[in-house]
Amino acid sequence: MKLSDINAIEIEKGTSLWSNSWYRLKQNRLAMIGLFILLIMVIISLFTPRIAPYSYEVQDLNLGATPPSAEHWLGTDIFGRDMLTRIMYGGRVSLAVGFLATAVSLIIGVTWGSVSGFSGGRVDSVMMRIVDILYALPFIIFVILLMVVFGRNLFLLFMAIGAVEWLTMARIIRGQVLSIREKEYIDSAIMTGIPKSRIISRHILPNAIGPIIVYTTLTIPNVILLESFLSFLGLGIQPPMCSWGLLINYGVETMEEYPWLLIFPGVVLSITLFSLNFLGDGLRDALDPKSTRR
Amino acid sequence: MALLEVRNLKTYFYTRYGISRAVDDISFDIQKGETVGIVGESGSGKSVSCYSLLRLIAVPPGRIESGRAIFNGTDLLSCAQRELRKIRGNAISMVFQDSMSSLNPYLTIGLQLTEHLLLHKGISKFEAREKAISSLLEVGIQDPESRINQYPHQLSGGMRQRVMIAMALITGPLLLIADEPTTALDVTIQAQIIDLINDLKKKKDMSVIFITHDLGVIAGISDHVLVMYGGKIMESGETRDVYYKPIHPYTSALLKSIPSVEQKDKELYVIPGHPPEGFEDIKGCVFASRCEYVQDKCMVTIPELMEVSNRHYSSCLRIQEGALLDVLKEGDS
Amino acid sequence: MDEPLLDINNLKVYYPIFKGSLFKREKVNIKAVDGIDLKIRQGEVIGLVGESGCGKTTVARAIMCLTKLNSGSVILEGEDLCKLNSKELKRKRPEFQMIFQDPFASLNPRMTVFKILSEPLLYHKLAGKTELTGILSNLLKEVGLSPRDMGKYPHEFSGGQLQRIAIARALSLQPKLIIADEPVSALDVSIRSQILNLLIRLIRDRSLTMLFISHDLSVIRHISDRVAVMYLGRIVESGSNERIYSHPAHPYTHALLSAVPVPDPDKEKSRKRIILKGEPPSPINPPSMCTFHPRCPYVRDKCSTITPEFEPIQEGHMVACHFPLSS
Repeated sequence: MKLSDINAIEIEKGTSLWSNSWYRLKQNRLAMIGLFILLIMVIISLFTPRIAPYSYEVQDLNLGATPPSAEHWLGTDIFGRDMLTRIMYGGRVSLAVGFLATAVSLIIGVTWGSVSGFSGGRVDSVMMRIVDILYALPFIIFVILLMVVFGRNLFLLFMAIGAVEWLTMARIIRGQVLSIREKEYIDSAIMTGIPKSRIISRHILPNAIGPIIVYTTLTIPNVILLESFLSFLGLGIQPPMCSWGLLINYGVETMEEYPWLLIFPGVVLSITLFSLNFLGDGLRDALDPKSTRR
Repeated sequence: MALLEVRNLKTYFYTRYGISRAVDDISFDIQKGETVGIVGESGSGKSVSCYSLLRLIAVPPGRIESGRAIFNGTDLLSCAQRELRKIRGNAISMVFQDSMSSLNPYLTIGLQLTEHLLLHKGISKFEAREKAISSLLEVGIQDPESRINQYPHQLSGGMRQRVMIAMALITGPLLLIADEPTTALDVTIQAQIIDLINDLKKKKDMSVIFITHDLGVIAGISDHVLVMYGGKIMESGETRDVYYKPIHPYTSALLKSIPSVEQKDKELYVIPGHPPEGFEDIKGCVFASRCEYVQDKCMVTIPELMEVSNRHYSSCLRIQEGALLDVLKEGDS
Repeated sequence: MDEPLLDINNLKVYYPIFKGSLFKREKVNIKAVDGIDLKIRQGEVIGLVGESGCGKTTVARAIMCLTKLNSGSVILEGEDLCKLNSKELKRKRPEFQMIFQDPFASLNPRMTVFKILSEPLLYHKLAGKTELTGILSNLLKEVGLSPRDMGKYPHEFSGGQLQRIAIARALSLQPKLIIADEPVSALDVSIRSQILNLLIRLIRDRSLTMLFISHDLSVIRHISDRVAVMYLGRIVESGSNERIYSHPAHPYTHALLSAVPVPDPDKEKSRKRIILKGEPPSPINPPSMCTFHPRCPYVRDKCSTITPEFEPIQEGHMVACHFPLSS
């Protein structure tokens, strides 16, 4: 075949399953709204130090708690701190914990689950029994232990939450790997001589990504709520730092006199969780291979 | 008067990928005591047309657009639900391809068999059980008294298919619709089941619609054949006529392209292209793009199914004009 | 060449399963493949035919080293495939490749055709990145597809086209032996002839050796030089294509051939079929001695007491039966 012929072939670009899924996702209104809101939240959080109107910790005891006004759009808390600013900073913390802890659980869970599922036999049994045992341990005791030993630390918070969430992720991945492993294209890869690790990374994981993405999107809300819970117990964020969870807890204490202290952080958290859930649902439908086939 | 008269049946499916014209205006008759074989590939509409008769189509996304199916005086497609329920499982029965998913894994064979009877005939449980045992014997299942208490997973594939047939026949139907009943079975078991169906239809003077893609099976079991492709009937006629004197290029091409057990051919006849997926908007004859004898008019005019000789119909424009008759006959050994 | 390309000796593949309750468990072996001998010569097409549960797919997977075997040897050009270590096996793999039954499941849906076809070549360093487009273009043309389709994904093709891609991938490593496991069973009837013709042409053009597995006797008749019939994990008869189809010696082969429907109404309605009684037994509890004896129309006492040997009754025609049918 002449070189000129090679250049002359125009190879038609195919439509991958990804573009197919993206197209389907775009058609899901709720999911796109969720995505949009999420993006806005993330952008605001990233730029918070620059754009926040006030500081989150400077107190103004003369001011005290005030309802929404022109200077303080969302009012102030009992220490005179601007609520809008505190909610923005709180968002930074909550979203950071959400994404990072989920990322940790993702990495551990995917590796554990895929190795376990692909190896099968004894290895699989042992690895899954370890998961079962860890599952049975009470999470709170574990986190308290960590906090007591290593002190309160934002980074540690990520690790602790990630260390708990990875268990479910591992089980889900293992399930996916088990079913994909039976497919004939995996046999083809084996018969070509490709080593196990490459088969997992090149062939199995890309096809398992659907449920991985969906479950990840649905884990983030769990993590955020978990963080709120820990902070409520006094194990998470330390004041004057705040997270949405903490803000809500303070708001509950003064619910009757100063309802806005509860309403605003509550609404913001709820909107974020809804968005994540809508997006997760939309992704699950869009990535579902059964509906993708012609 | 025919037992079943189907006229202009159209069933379409409305999906996000477009409209699938699964059954696109077909008409045929079933006489009493006749076995009609419907043969076609995937996408031909053979199964959907029979499901449409009993209105077993999921209404969104499917829809029976138009048509009449007169069975013993009642139009199955437009009658009330109550009427239809009296006919389903009673006067018209169906046997499906996958016996494992057609039988309820949580109920014993006996319960599933008698359910039909108790529903339609209003007899006592004891009588129903007796009938169930005798129907199992009829389909060749040994030791029916113990089998009747077993669950579907305890039986082999061939036996489950026999149970399905027993279930279909227990109410004494006038018409049995069998949708690929032997496709999932081994060839030796298939031979047993075909034999059984042949026997039973003679004994009970039943009409049978037998749907399959296997031309060999059709040759052995049917009196009359309908060849379907792309939602339409290409050819229909008595079995001998269709096989020995095909009057449609598709039938002829199909017969020439299947390998034969009897001799080793040098090279098989190839039909280029592939069957339509259903969402294409095809103008003119559905088979035109793959047809060896295609002419311009075939691509623009939708052919009608017309009688060419005694009870032998074709929907090929060129055949209807009188051309190709000898060519197709010769090509087919 | 006298030495066969592929020499299988006493191949056995058993699957252990555990029966019984929690406290009284016993291990039972499913004898999926129970002692197979098969020799395939260079350039031959052997058809392996049998019904479901006979073990033919297990044989294929054992040869391809996708399934571990319990005993026996699979010798390809002098080397016993299943005794090789992983490095040696990797080196040997390009020499034997397989085509699978379900075209929709045998290609990774997330990879383009280009990636699918280039992966084996790049991995075994048989082509550099710059040569890929050229090599793949030729490969696609050889199986009847257009090189322009290289950038597409599997879900954009029909079943027949996918099978062609699978064939192209099997050929890319220039194998000596190809195992085809029911390659046309999942395809529409009007497309089967396309793929069968393609395979025949490729076998001829590339001097391939092929083990063609199928339950469809007409397809086997069409494509093979020699035929081996399997029943419950054993080969019960083997011989040339002509011989097996015209003068089957084993009662099972005879019944099998008699059961195949032919598209000829007069023949079908007039023929007397041999209907086997009963069902194919399960491999968990195979009948004693001749495993076919409970269903055999010609069974005699000896059949349930002594296992028949797999012996020649004529040059090149072997049967495992005490009372083989005479012509």
